[in-house]
Amino acid sequence: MNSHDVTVTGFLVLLAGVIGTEVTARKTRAQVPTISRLFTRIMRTRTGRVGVLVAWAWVGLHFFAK
Amino acid sequence: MGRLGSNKRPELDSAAKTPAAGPRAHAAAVPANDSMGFVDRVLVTLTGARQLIVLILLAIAFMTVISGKPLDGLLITVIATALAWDAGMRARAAALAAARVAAAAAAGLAQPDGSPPAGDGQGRAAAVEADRVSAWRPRTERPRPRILALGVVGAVSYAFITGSFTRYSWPATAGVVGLGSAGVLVGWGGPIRQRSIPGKIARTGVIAWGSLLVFGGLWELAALLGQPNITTSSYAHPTISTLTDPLLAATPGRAVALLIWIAAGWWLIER
Repeated sequence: MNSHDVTVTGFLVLLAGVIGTEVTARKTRAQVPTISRLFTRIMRTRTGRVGVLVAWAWVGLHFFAK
Repeated sequence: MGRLGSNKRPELDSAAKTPAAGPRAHAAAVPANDSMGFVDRVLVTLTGARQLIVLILLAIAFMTVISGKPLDGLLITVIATALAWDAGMRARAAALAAARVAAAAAAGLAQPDGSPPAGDGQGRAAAVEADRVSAWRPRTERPRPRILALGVVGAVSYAFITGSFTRYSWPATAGVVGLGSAGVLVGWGGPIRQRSIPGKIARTGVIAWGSLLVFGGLWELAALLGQPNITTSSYAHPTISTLTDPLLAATPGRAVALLIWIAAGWWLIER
């Protein structure tokens, strides 16, 4: 396993962690919020709402804009 | 649009005019917005900078700068600072309102509507409620099918038109900047639909999602620092950007990616 594989595996582990946490939140009684509830909570204030949307806009800029 | 950000200063000004006595002295000791000195402004901004989303934006700005996009980093830093200022002012307004209510309670004054004096929580509740005020008329139902269909057609058209341009070209930049700015502007105005706000996130939830966020950030940073230099991608240490390059090399891939980006933006605006 070379460093490329290790790096990619890390990102796959991250993806699996996100999916696993979301499934746990939906299917069990663990005190873990779903992504939807998490973002609704974060975006209840203007700071949170604008901050999250700026991060979203940045993703678009990062991948497509000069 | 005229109501954007209009729910802040009147509360501050009235609070600052409260006569100094006991808890009121605390309220009066904090200068009104107009008379704030430079140090006060810096302190207010630092107070707001403790917000998690501000810290995340500053981390993004840092990553952007070391990735060779200093102007983008500067832009995000300016926005993060503005948000920190806004959050700091709101926290200050909540503290002033709480002090005012506490002063009224200490003096045994009844509320204007005849109800008994309230505790500190009322000031904070008022500030939170003010945060929920929207410049838009929040809808209560799902959008009509015709509106929804128009939105989908518009999104697909946008994705394929913008995706047909080369990455990092001026047309692609204009398209993404335009839609991104519109999304942020809508978000700044407030929620566009009525929704119930979940209660405070339990510690287990914070640890679970926070761990993933920290792990993802550090892993990406490690890959970035593993490159030959900060602007040259590496096969041995690929970042997320490097891994998605093949997908974004052709128009269909770019269009799909843009559609996902638009869907994510719409989903966020609906929160």
